[in-house]
Amino acid sequence: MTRYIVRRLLQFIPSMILIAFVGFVIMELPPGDYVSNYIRAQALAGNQDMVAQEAALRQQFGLDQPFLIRFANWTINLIRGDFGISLATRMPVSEIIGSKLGATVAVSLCVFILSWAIGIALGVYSATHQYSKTDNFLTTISFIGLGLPDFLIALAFLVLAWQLTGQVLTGLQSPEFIGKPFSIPLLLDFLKHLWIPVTAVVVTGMAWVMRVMRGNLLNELGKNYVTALRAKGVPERTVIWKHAFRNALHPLIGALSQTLAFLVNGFVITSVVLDLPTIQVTYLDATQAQDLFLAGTILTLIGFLVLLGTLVSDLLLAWLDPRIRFS
Amino acid sequence: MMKRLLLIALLVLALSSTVIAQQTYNEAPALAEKVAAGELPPVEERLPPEPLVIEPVEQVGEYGGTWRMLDQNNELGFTLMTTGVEGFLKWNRDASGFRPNVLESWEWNDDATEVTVHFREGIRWSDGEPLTVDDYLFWWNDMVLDETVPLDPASGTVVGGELMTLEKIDDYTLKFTFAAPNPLFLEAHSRGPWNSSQSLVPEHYMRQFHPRYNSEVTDTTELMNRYNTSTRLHYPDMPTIGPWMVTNYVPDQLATFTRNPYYWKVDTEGNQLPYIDNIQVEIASGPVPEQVALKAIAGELDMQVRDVALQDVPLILENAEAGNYRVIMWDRGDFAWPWLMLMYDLADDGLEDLMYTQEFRQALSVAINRDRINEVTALGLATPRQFSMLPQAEEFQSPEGQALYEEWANSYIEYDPEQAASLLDSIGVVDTDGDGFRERPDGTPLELVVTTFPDNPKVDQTLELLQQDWQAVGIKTALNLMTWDEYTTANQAGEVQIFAWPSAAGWGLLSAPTVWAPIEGVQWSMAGMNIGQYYQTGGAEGVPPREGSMLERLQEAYSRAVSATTAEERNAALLAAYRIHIDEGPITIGTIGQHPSPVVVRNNFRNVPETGLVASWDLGYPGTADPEQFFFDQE
Repeated sequence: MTRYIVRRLLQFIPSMILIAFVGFVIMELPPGDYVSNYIRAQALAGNQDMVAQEAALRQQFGLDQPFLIRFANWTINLIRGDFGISLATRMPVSEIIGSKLGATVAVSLCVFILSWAIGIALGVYSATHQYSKTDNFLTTISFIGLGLPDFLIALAFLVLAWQLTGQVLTGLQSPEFIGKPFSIPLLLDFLKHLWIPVTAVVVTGMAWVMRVMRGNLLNELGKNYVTALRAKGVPERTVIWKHAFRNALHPLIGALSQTLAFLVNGFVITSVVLDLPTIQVTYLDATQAQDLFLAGTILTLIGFLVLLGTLVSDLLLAWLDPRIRFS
Repeated sequence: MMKRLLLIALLVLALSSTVIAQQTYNEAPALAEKVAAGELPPVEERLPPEPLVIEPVEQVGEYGGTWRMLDQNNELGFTLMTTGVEGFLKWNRDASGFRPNVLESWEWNDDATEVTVHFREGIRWSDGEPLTVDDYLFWWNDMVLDETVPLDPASGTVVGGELMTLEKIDDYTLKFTFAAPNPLFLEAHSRGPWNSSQSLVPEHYMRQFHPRYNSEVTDTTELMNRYNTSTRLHYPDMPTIGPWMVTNYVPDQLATFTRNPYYWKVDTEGNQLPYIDNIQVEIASGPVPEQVALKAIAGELDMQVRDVALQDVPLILENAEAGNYRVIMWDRGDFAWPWLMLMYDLADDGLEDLMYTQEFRQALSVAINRDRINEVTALGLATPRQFSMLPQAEEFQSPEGQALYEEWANSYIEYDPEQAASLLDSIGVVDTDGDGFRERPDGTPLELVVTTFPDNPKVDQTLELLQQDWQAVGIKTALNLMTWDEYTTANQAGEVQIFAWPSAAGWGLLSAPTVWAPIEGVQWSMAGMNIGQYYQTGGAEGVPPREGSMLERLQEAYSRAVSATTAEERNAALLAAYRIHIDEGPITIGTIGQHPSPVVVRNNFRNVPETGLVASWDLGYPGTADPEQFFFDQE
């Protein structure tokens, strides 16, 4: 088992380099670069002296170097733990990501835990009570959840909250609490903002988990071993939770591989619409502005998390299912 | 007897002047507390001996309050336009000209090659250090002239190919010498949050980031970050001479500002400005008209100048009473949005011939249904007009100036497809192969390509209407998008036929004169970068305009205007230059312009003037409207 993990970890290295390289190439594909975008915006606003600075800026950022040299420099620094600076804010990339990670993971974890907990519970209930009134109701709800994009739900909540309280709850904190040390009012204010993105994304996320859970469990419940167990007189609770549920979990565990990446890069549009101070928004902005090192680092981070997630889910599956372990 | 009278008179004079000298000033309560606690020197010592007196727009205000606004991104551009417009001079509130600001006075020599400027004595940085000419000299000697600092000379500091020279007379007096007449230097050097607003940096603070003065510093990144306008407000420890200083900056979320205790302006009753205590800026990620609309309706903005979309005005107005705010219509200050730059240096010679044909250009202009563009893209609130400078410009203030302005702005804008068709017929641009589209005089197909930058929906909408209008008179028209780099390369190669420029700039001689005369090899130069380059390099590079053409005459007219040393001479020369645009016009084609720009203002937020021109940041609004005298009416 240990050898298996070590081998998988070693495979990370070429994959990571490839991911970083492809990410870098993609950032190069659109015509122009960060400097030309910046210069254009400045020129259109009237800062015409800035146009004369184009070459100097490019030199300052090292964008005048050939592509491969830039990539090599960046990769070597990356290994040393230096992610470079954001071209737009001139802040170290590590500092930017660090400052966003807390909020991002806080929102994502809430979303993840809630949508899986609720989704699994309702899915099991639906499957065991197939075609009952409750099942039909839950199925309807889940189809609505799957059909509506989460950002639309978020917008509806935003307007609803404004009509009820007169406050526009964008972001994750009211301005008076931003950058302040932790306190109870700060936590309450945070929660006041948090529910909008979390509820909106949970509605759609939960619906998916529920559909998958219901389908799989129904599938398992129709199998011969379940009939055999029931015929043996095993209590229904044990039949469902110990046997059928465990087997029905497999596809969900497989989907876990995407979860780590989801924690830092899920629900991008909702984040943008609600103006959340999360990595998703930073990543989108960085990509649009061709903020090379920032976007490259985030992409690499996401890639790393996908790889790690895959490993974790493989291990979980192996632990759950002896058949995988032995093959 | 006479002697005694004289003596008494002198005595009275002396007494009254001491009374003036001893005038007391008021300050904000919070500052008075700090003075009482010994944390700050008294207000009289913080202010210059003769502080700049600002006349309030409506009334003398009261201290207090936090101004809530929204900014687009971490560059904090909207905010800098509020707190950082403190240059040598300052635009008048109505943009009609300039008034003294950091400079108290200045004298030009007769041929406008030397100017001696006097800094206002006693201005202090927000940390209490005095502002002297050394702060400006630091920028020039240690940044611009220093090879290790990636900063090129600002426009206006290089004349006739030579750098200006600076001579320090004393701490408050500086002499500029130019190789050739440069009569508009001070004005051009006082635009927006750039130019002298940017160049005046606190030397005592900046030195620590300069490799020359601090051996621990190896590169100029930290220095440049504090110099560049898009990162300057990220440093709460950086002293400023603006009315508010940064106290906190949380990227992507929030920037807060508080009053500068050393601000050097007072109102007419001797109250130290600014009136408003704090500014709280929420930082969004990108353009935010939707958020602005929602926050405006919720009453969460005290004054928001930018990113209030015209389309949202009906909605915002509906909720004005409930949200306790009003909407003031400022002006984008655009002469056209977009304007159509016809290029006269084309790889396609046949098309170049057509561009040089006045009837062709007139046909293109009168074929445009500007009213329809106005209705569709601007709720009918903009003004259909020809490409021409703005009516506020100084040269239009005389009666003949106004007459010329009217004539220019209204030339060839009457929608008349029949006239367009007959104009095209008259120059042989007719449909010879019967496909519904006209061919060139030599019988080859004609297709115009109009190019613009991506991400400007308003321009896209306009161009789609324009395409319909031109196709309706038989001119096949295609639309095209290019990024900055693509556009630059294509322009230089003569491959851009018509470019729709999406911003607002151009103000006689002061701001981007190359939009009305091809005199610089830059992207926004009319007629094409190469023709501007030709003039800029004195014929060494680029492409000359055709001999005797209107473009050549415009270049000559510009030369005359720019070398005029008196305002009268200059205005006359400008009007003569604009006359070419009428007689040979249109040379660049206008669409609709002077779009209103809604400003959301809380009802008790006072002293906001009715005029403001917001699109070109050169004009520095709302800084130009003196935000230090805005106040909250607490009653």
